Amino acid sequence: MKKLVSMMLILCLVLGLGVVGAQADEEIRLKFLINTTTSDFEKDHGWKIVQEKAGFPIDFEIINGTEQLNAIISTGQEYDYIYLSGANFKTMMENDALLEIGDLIDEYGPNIKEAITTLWPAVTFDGEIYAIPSTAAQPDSLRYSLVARQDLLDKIGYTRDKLPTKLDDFTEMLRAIKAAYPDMIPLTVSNDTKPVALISNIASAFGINAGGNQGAYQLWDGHVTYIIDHPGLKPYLEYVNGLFNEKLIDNDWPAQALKDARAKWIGGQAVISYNSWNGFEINTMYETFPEMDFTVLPLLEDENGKVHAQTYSGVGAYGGIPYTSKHPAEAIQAINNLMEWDTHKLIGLGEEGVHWKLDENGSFQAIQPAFSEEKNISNVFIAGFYREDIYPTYWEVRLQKNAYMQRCFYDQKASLLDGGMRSPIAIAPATGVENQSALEKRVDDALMAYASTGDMSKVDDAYNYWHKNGGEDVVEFYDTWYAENMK
Amino acid sequence: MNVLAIICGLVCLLPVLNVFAKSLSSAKAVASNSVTFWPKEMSFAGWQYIWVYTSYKRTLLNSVINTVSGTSISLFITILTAYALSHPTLKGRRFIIALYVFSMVFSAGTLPVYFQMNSYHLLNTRWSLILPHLVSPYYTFVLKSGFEAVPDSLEEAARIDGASYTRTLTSIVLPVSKASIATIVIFTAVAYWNRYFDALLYITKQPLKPLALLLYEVIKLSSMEETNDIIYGQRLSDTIREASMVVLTMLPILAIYPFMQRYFVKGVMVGSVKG
Amino acid sequence: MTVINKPRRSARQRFWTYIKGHWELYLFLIPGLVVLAMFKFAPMSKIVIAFKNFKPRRGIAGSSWVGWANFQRIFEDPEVWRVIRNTLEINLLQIAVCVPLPMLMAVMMNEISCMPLKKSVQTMVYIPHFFTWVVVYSVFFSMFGGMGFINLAIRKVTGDTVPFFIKGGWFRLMLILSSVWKGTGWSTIVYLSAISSIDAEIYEAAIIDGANKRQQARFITIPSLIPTMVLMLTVRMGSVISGGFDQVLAFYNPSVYDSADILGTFIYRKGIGQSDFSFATAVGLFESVVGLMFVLMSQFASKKMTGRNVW
Repeated sequence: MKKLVSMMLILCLVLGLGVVGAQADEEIRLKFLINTTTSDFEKDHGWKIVQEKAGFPIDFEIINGTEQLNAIISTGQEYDYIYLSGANFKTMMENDALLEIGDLIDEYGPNIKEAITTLWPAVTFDGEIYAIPSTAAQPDSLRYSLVARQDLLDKIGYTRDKLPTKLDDFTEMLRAIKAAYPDMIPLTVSNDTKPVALISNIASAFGINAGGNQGAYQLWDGHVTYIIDHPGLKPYLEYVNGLFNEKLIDNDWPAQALKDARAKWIGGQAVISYNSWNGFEINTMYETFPEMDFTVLPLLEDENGKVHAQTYSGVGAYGGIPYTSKHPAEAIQAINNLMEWDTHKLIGLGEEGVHWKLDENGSFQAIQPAFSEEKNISNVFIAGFYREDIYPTYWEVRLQKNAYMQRCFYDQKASLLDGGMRSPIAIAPATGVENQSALEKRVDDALMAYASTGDMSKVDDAYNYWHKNGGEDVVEFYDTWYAENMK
Repeated sequence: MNVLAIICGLVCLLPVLNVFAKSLSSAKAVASNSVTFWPKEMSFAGWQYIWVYTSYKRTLLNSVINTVSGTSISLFITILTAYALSHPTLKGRRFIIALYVFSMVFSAGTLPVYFQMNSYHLLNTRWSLILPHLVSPYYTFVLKSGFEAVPDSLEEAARIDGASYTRTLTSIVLPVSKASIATIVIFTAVAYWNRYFDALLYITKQPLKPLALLLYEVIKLSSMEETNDIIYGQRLSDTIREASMVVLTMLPILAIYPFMQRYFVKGVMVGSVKG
Repeated sequence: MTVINKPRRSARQRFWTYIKGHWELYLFLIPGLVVLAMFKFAPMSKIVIAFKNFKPRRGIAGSSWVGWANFQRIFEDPEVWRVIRNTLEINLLQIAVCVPLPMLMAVMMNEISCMPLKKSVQTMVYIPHFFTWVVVYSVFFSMFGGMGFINLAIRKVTGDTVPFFIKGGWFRLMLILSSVWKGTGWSTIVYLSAISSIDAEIYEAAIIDGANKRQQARFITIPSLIPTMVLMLTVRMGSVISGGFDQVLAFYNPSVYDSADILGTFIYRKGIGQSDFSFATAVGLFESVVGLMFVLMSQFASKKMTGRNVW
């Protein structure tokens, strides 16, 4: 009898341990929410590396828009990591939906701390860290500037060495284009770029930095200044409005999406386009117009002979951990593993000899077609946590897929001369002023309305609205922060 | 009159041809606007791109599964309901019809429905796309009218002979109502096939994406990576990519269309003319 | 003389006897009602969000109660009124164009004598109905966009392009044209079948009286189709506040938000899209209630005019 009882007890003990053991071994799978893509993940080389090296199996799911993200947050669904654009990051913070991860990073994220050095202020509030700041992929480069059909300019005497660098010469050139090519639009712009009415080359002549990612906030006289207070704004707007009225600028500008402006450029309806290096299907253009050639126009000088432009720097995106995650520590560990130097290289760049090799200068060179085919969407898996120190270099290799695109990028960078400046608030945290986006949008719309209608009263209205409804708080916050952190 | 009719027909057909043509032309031809109704410098690069580089195959399968299962279950439920409601003397009939009408016009709203789906733990499942639309009050009423058009004498004869309602339904009413039923099937199937908004909100797991959502993403949300414009030695462009996606979404429907056409004309006839 | 007294059955007993006598029919009704209950009625419990200031972290229960505040905002916010105006204008315009047109088209198609032509025209005209709105958008943008061939032709004539998808007025034209393209052919089926049920004798009598085709159409065909048209109109009026979501969502872009935003897209983009959850729910409820009112009104009007129930 005793034997039976003791055997039963032992059996229970073993079973119990087995159950406990099983639960302890129960696999932790992480759920990462990333940006939309229309391709299958599993085909990409980057995905394979992630599964191998992250340390935990990761299931990737995708969100297709802010609406879906908000719906997910509203019902508290469980995810371990979410890729966030700037706007989505703000929304998450407003809804108090992100975990503060400072301690977790200290404990589990040595690679994270090693890889990201200057960007932390953008994600720190009240001393706590709320996301991993992922570097903009091309800092210190110019995102938007004017790109022209050099072949057409050559025909009217504006060869590469004769391109205008002063405002009046620029106006003359536009008029000459209109006279020589009456069927074409001299300059086409879309309404997507931010802030909407600032064209980098032209704004440069008025001392305004544009062409980057936060153009509305300038550094003037050592202080952070919002565009509405910038002394160069009114003269700039008057000038641009003049161009608009003379039909030297595409009159579709206020309402035109990037796709449409691009289509005009590609279809040969415009001579100059306000573009980014990735904004035009260059190969197609070269086939359609065999004599085609393009140039990046120089930034126009102000009265002191200096150029001004804003570089595309700071934080490109954010990697946050929502409060619904049940495995935040594991998520940080996984991210830490993926940011490890060699792993990051495998994902961002690929395998040596298969996807890339070193050329005679020691720079990375892509091996086609493997690079295009297998690493096409690799960046999507690490987009929320790029290594600040090296990822921009990997990113530039992607440019090599297309020689023209690469040339455009480097030309735009070169046109900065010594006038390229990072936005003063590139890595500033959120101000906490509630209606900041609404205020900014109102100014945006007013600038655009002025450029197209010449109605300065709209700008004055926006000026008053900004100052009365919290705009001054925003600027004061940034200015104080700037003085404390950046000087 | 005949001329006018031809014009109407062409107006409906030509835009479709235009998109077809663009999807099969070279990027150069499309960019220089020389493509109207027939492909120029024909190239299948666009179609190949969609087939190989996007989740087209998987989403297509998803749509087929969702449509077939949704339509069959819905058909089952709708037939039963419409049959029951087609008996004017059934007590409580007015009340139930009122319930259906109410649910047809009154919706709790996008967010409340989303919350409810979450309570059922149906988010990110295939069922979230199928279940909510199993009942369409409008089509239930169409079928109801169809059943009401069946001569009473037929049913009475069967009932007198002692047949149960089930037997009456299956042996007498259904065989006579093939046209109405075919109509319902087509309407329901097409609705399931084209529906994208539910997936837009409920689905984040890629393997569950239906074709309609992929279409929405390709047309409205994404643009081609500049670097992909060299595929199979051809040149692609955003326009060709979009046109190809549209064409490949249209093809399954166009393929089935001839078979459907036979039925739906008759069915709508019966269902819509009242009194 | 024997009188057999049947025991009097109570109402309750009679009720259950009835049910038992027709139990199959009630059984048949159950699946449909279950689905409706689960997916149409159950979510109504969540409408309470509209009366609170919903914060995700607090959940529904934990969020604070604000009563009618969100609804007050609907009436005070000028943007909401603009959107409501848009919704009504766009839908009414569409109804005005899309309800009579199929009737006229049916009359015309009826006149076609050549059978193969009739069949092929019908086939072509029904197809657009089966495409999803995203496809319709793509087709229209391809034709009317800045680089589409319609604009190409316009440029040759006037030297300028028409911003169909950019300026509000033109954009509404796009919405209406695409509705016509997608829906007209299909709706003609209803009218064609109505025509086929007109007594042939009436036509014969008219022909004897010397009426030509046009007069026949004017005095016989069209008048007999009016009731059907009223029916279709009634049904469509019911969706004058809630309809068009799929279409507008697929068609619109930032430059036409001002004039093309309808209630549904407004809720989606500005409500949910800006995590303004309570407000989004309140507007949604408002939309449903108004929609219900419209349906009831049009049902009432239709009954007055044609003397019979819609359903």
